[in-house]
Amino acid sequence: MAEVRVENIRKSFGAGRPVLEGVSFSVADGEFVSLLGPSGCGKTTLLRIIAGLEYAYSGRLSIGGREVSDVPPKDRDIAFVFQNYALYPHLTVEENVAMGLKLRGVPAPEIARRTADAAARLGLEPLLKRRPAALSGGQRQRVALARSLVREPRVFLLDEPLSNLDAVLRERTRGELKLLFKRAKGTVVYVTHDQVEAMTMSDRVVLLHEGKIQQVGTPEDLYRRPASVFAATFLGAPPMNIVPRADAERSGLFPDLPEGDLLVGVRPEELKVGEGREAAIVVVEPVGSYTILTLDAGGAAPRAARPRTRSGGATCRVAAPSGAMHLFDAADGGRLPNP
Amino acid sequence: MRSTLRGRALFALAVAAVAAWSLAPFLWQAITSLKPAAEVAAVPVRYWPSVLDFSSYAQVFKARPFATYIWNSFVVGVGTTALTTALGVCAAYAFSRLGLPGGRAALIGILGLSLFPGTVLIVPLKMLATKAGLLNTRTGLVIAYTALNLPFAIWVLKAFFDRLPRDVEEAAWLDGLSRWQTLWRIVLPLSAPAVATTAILVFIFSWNEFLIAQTLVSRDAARTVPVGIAMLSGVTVYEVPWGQIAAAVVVTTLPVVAMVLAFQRRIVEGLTAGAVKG
Repeated sequence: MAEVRVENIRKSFGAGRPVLEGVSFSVADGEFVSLLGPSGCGKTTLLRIIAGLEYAYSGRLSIGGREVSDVPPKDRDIAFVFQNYALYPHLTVEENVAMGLKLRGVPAPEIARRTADAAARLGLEPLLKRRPAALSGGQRQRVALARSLVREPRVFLLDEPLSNLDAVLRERTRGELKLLFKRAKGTVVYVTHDQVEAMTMSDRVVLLHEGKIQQVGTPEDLYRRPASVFAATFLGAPPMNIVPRADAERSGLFPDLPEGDLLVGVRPEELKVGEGREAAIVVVEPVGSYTILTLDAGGAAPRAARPRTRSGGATCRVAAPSGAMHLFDAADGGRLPNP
Repeated sequence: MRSTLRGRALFALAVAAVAAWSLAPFLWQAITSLKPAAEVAAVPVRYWPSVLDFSSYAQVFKARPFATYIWNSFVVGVGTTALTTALGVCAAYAFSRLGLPGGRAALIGILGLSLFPGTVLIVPLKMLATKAGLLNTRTGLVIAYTALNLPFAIWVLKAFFDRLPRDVEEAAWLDGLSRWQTLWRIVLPLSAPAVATTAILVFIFSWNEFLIAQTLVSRDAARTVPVGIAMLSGVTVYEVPWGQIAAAVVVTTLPVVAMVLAFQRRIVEGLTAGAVKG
């Protein structure tokens, strides 16, 4: 197992805006780190650079203390799980899993043992003689995982491995994956655009936006102390309410606002419904375990999440506890210290 | 679509009509080759021979060294197919995957070259072959045919490679395969239908080619079948030995048909094996 260090990586395709503008972070030995961000933020490109499938324009990259920028992908001792699995269609499941070992000259009995072991861990034994075309999406995904596990690499790189599964299967596989890589004691870099995956599976999250790192931290850090308006609104469902200072003041929800050109944020689940000022209820969205209310509080139109369902009433009382308030610079969206 | 008895009957009828239309000339040749000499050009037309007469076949091999012609055609066909496919696969893969500078211009140039009519090339080809000492050799034919077929092969194969998912190849690099191994062990097995189609069409071109073979070869040692058939002649210039010509056509067509059918079945087998259940 090994540590991954990414230092000041830059990359652009053609003449357009750079895809990555000087990205640096590190992944400790055995750590599970997610690269999270919306489509086009550069997260997959970054993963492919770590794998050696793309070249960075500049910057340094090391795996286990060794500079690998000029090392071909096969010699970086990594395994890559592709979004659409990229299985060899003309080979059986067994051959797909064993290919990497065969090419590395691993002795046949050892290959057989490790293939059987990976197949057992992923429940693939009955499928070993089939070809990918005869497998379901979930089965293919497990073959792709087995192919990476069997290599026992120092680093696992996963590119949105769950995005082609249906919602129920994705939910279940999420937990299985976390357990699988914990047992394999692997260093994992996991690319996803799904904040729930990133929050539930990772030790730390690297949040990317337009080729730049917005924030690096534990899921708890990102949720509790978002470093920017982007981080505040990308994580959390429903997203954080963000209102300009003038509207926030007019709404009367936030007492003692500091001076300056500010944006004021508060998470829907931290708004207190049932105390404070009167607000009109505009929309009610019951989700099941909680209900989302869209309110009109004179100037601000915050959304509030309330445990359990709520029935009737055109108005309610709402208050924002001072500890729940987040302040951001209106000019660059950066976080400001609370007063 | 619901398949009714009526629908299926109509479909069968249509297939039969197309098959009859396409096969009729060949059947006519086959029947002619089995007629006694007197009935070949009899008026009124005699559709079915009174007796099956195989003498035309014997005469073909006596009149001309047809065994040599067939062997030459076979050698030139296999050589052309192998060379064209090998070069075509490498070039098409490079065009499809390596992002060569000027690749697109080169591809259009190749297409442009292939639009030259064959007759324009005859004289320069003959001069080149003479200078290179390749006149009257099978090697000369193989080189000329390969040059003529490569543009087609490159375009067909490139179009196919473009549609293959790239990440399967990337997975192969990560597993430890080199570019060449990836081409050989991953891309080619997945491209079997395109490679086989290209190979069959190139082989048929080479087997049937007349103009260049006629120009570059004037000795029996390297002569191919189409030229050989054209050289069958009767006792006088006014006599056309139709029976022998028909026999020669049958003898030289059947092996190719058999080969193509066999090849085709293997391709289909290769594609469906394991897709349903391994």
